[in-house]
Amino acid sequence: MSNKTFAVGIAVCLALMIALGFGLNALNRGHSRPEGVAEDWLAAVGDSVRKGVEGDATRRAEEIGPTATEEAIASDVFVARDTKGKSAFADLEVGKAVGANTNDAAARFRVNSRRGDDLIEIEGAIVLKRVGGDWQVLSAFPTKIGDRELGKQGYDVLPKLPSEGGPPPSSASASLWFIALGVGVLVTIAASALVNWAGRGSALAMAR
Amino acid sequence: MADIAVDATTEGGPPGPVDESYLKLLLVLLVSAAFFEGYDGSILALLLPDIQSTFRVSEAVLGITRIPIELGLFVAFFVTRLSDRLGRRPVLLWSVVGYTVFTAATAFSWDIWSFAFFQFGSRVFLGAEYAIGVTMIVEEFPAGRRGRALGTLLTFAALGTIAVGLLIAAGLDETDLGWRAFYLVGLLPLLLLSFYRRRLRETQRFLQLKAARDAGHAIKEVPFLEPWKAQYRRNLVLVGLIHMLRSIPLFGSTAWWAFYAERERGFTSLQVSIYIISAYGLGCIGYYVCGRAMERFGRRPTAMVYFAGGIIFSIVLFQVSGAVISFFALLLAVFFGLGMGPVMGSFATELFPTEIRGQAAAWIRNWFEIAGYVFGPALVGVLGDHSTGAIGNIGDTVTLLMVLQLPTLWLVWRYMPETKGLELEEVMAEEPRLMLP
Repeated sequence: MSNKTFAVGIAVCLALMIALGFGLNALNRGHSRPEGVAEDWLAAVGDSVRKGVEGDATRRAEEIGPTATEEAIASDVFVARDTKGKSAFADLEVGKAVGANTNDAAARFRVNSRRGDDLIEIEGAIVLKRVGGDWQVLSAFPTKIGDRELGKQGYDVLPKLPSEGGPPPSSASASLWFIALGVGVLVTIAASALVNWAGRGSALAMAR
Repeated sequence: MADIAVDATTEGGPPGPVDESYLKLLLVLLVSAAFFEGYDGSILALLLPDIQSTFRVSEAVLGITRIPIELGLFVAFFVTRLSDRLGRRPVLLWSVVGYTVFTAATAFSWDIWSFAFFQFGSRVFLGAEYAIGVTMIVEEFPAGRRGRALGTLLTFAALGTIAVGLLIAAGLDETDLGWRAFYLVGLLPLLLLSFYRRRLRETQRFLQLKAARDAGHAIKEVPFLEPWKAQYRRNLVLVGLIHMLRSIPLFGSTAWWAFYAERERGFTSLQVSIYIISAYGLGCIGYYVCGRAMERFGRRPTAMVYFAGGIIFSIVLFQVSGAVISFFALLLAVFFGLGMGPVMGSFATELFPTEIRGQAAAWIRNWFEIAGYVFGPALVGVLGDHSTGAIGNIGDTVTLLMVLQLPTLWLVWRYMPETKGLELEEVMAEEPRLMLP
């Protein structure tokens, strides 16, 4: 292979990478799910007490939900102070939202909240509002802290969390599975063609 | 471009048998390279939040610093290819020194950029160390024991991952040194090397090649594009494609499983840690079994079974919600998906002559496979993003990407030559016949 052919090959690969980037961007355009926004917000609120990233995390949380962030951080029931420099939530999960096709949505959540070396499970609901093309968190309220049940008004109508048997917030459509299989076949054909092309050169070189 | 003679002059017959005690020592020395490959990669994956806290940087800056760090594995290509010119031994020894120096320096990083620089350097030498280690095993062990030796070598890469998990469980990250202590452990290979350096020999096959070069039968310097020459191109493209199509879904799934388990299946962080340690612990037996199977049944059938197993159990892992089924699916996905490393290592080395073996392996690993290392996790992250992703579901995205592994079954079955029981010289002599479908 000459240097020129190699350079062309690299240029083709780079072009494919750029095309892939544009393709992915086009595929993702227009998607904004309240469940994902709620999850990002919970992660940022949890990190607002993590050593070293407090400022950045608080800023990220406030961008998604200014009032809700202020309330959540002010309430040391939701975000404890004694996390030993770690994130307030050891893990978190958000369920499928209701109202995702309207301007108001709500979803269940569950976090394991740090209390020193211990963890306490908090369940609750997050309420979101569509602002422009994006979602903003309006408020988050716990309905259960450890074994203590709090008010549950409207909570039961929200879909269960995936770990409780509820639906996932989003999933691949049936058509996508068929498209993927088609892509698999195309990749197989392309890969075979490449190997055959390379093999022709090898056979000729060996014959010489 | 100058030709390299690939005939009896350079390949000759197989070199005489290497004594048993030396092979054992060689394996012990090389497993440390494999161990720290798994170890080093896992520190970054598991302790990134701690590192972020120490340097007080945002998620965005953290994401940017990953780019130069991972580019180190790409740059390792240029170090690895030196082993075809200077020899396996000196480049391996200097790689161990380079890795150790940069890893120890990482422990003394003063900000995120110094950390990124030291980790970049560490990755350059670690990547080279690992690739040369595989080449030395393939060149020194007799045909009948090559697979087992590769299996043993790669088992230690998985043990490196488990070691990080166990050190975290033992609370090493809670000490005053925190995550820095994990990088100081990286000084161990240098200690091992200082004891055994003089007993490590150059491979006999490289010595044969060197003699041929000194006699003027082969050129001294291997050109950059030599493995792309017509006579090697088919195998390079074939093995490279198989590595890339495997690595995109593989690295996509390994990078995102913990996130998936927590956010989409409701696993606690403790459950995730226990699952990873136990499933990796048991699943890494897959490397050893793979090494034995490729000797007994051959490279092609072993690769087919491992590919099929990897695809099936990864799909089960990312589609089921039951904790028990998830555990066994994770174990078997590790067993087959990661455990096929030995057969992949043999494909990347056995099909090329000694004078380009190191460089061909570097092309396959540091170009084709690293493409998957970069794009796999990125594709899953972008398409599966819960907020803005087109699919919005990590489990489904990984499952869809697994489709990319299906062509590998066809490529192995249709095109891959079988090298079971053949010495490297026999592989080269029979190459035209082996290439026939």
